[in-house]
Amino acid sequence: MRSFSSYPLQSCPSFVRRGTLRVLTVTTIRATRFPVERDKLSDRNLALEKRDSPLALETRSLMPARSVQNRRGLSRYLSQSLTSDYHVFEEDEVKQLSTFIKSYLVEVHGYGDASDLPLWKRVFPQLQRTSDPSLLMAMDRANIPYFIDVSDKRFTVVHTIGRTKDTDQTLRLLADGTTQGFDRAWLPSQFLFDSRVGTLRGFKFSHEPVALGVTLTREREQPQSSPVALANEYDSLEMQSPPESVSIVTTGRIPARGQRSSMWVRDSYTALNDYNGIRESKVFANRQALDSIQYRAITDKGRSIDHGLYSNGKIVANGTSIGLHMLAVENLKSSYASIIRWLENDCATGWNGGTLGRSLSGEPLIIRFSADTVIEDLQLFARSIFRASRPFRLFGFPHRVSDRRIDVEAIDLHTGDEFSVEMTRDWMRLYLPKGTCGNVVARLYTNLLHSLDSDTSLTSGSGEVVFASKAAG
Amino acid sequence: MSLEELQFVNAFIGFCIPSGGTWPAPFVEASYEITGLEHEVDTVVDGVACAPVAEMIRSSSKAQHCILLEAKSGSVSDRQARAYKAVTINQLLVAGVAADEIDVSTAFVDTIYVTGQNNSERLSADFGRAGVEFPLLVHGDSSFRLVEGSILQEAMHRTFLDGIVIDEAAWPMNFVRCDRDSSDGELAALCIRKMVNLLLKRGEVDIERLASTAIDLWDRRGQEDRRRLRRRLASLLADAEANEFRGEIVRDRPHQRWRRASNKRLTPQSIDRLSDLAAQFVQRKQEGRPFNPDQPLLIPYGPDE
Repeated sequence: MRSFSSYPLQSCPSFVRRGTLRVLTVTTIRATRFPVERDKLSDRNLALEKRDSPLALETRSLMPARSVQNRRGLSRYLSQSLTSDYHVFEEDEVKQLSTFIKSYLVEVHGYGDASDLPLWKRVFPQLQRTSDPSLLMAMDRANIPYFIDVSDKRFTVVHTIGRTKDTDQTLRLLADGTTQGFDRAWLPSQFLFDSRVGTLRGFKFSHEPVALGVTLTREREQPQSSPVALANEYDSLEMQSPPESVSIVTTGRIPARGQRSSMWVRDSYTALNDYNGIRESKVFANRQALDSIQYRAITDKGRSIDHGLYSNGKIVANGTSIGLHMLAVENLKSSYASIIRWLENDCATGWNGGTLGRSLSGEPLIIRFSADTVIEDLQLFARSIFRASRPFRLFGFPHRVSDRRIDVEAIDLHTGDEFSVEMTRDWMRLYLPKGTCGNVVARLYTNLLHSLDSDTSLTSGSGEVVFASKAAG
Repeated sequence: MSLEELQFVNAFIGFCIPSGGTWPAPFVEASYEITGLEHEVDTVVDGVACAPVAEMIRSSSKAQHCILLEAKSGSVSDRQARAYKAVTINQLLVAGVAADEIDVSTAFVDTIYVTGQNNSERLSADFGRAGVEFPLLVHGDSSFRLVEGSILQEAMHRTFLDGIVIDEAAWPMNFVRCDRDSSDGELAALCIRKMVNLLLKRGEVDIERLASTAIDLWDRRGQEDRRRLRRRLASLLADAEANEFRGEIVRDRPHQRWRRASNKRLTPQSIDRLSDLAAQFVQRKQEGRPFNPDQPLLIPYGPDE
């Protein structure tokens, strides 16, 4: 007969690294570290529960996904993940039955109503309504359950407790542009940072030099790459840079795609200081676009939630308060939705009929490159952005080409919406016609932050910072 | 409108709409709204009815001011000049091209002529011959400057008298994209983008759908206007089919309908190729040169990883 005891996960970090837990005496693991780390532990989904195991009685019984009929049920179902139930299988192997909660913010466009079942069937073959008309239950091809919150007919949230590797793949299939009608939320760095509702515990910068024809003045000034020294010591800091660049700084023209670099701090109580320190020190300068942040929120009653919030609209949660998670998701959704709708309603340009005349409303949007960005080859730069492949997924052809200016006629390949761009070496001016999906602005801008320069700014014609001001509200 | 006239109209719109400092916008505060575009205004000159067509009409209830903008790359007829001189606020209100809160008793109207430096003397002479005086804005040396006449709205008068310095590369060109007289070069960009979009969405393009969705305010254009534009757009598509897009699109005769020549699934690479061809086509039309099959692509896309 085996005996059981309990371990706090942070006391056995080697488990985290190993990814598979082979111990004799474990029933419950309280995970309090970064969700992504613990998530790696799970290698089976709920369907793997083996009730005939002699040890099954030691675990909690899990609520079946199909029994969820309303939001209260959804909260109970998702809460299972927060309590970290594990199951012991044969040969002394402990398997995690549930994983962290994943909530994905997904934009539905062009079809009018996200609660239409056929819309989702291309990715979720099994789909059913619950007794709450704004909540759909779906199964992907691997029978992993999802719950789709369609209370907003356009900005939906897909909740799941399936394994991240699988659910990420399903969501990629849904929203990467191959399935018509869906797009991810694209959260630019400042918006991502401002969206946290708790104490910052970690962050990750990432950069993928997709934009071509550009150099940064920093690179010009330092033709010989030299390591950059940090002002402080950051125990928790890790970095990944292209193999050929020993230091953070690369030389010459930003290379073609493929040399992604990133830098992150995890599970740090000094993450905010680290973040500010790195921002001020200019380490990883111009490549400080946030890929994700990690934060912890605690209620006055001591219940807490750890969130990993990603720039692609994914929130991974772990903790003891499902309410805090749902609140954070709702806040994120409404902030993001209000910005996109503001772009569409107030900034998009268009001719209104008026009484007898024609009235023009709206104003262009301005993406301004930082002082460090030097567009050396404007044509190449334009063509590298207006490409059908990821991450931009834009059709566009340049015309009225001169040395200092290019106009681009563009089509968002997600929606088929058309828009126009005027580009110089200092800025891009976007004309979004009325009726165009504003998510294309978020996608273009977020990807510019990650592929060109993280100090690039986006404002309305009136000078309002698009993603910072609304996020605060 | 000629391309130059279209540019002037866009420049003037830009002066009134904020563009984040990329283009001067000194009249944003006055909240001018565009209340008419290529719009007739009925008036009376010496007892005879006439209806000049202003390129653009802007009005501001805040400034109690209406502007009729006449962009010129050629000369001005006596008749037109005198007609503009006769336009009153009341006539603009009747025509529905003045802002709702314009007060007929206090508001005033200006007709402003705008032209390039090389044409300013000719316009000035035309005004003299017609015995009228108008504010004349001249574009030259990277600025817009009032060289003749006065604008009744004092702040605007002073601003133009001092001159508005511009960056030529920042010239806005997307407020008004085309009109019935636009060149093939201007129409080609809109036409080909819409063509590609319809091909991506539907696999085929019919001229009615293309025209009605590519041209601003299609439903407000007259029959003759529409007929002319349809004919020109069809001619552009036929040109594209015969040249840059040969092998990519084919026409379903006898209809004015084109479809993709192949049923192959579109990939990012094939979409990028369409983009290359579109760029080639539009550049050729804007430069007004014949098709050259050996013309290299502007910037051909490399293989996608």
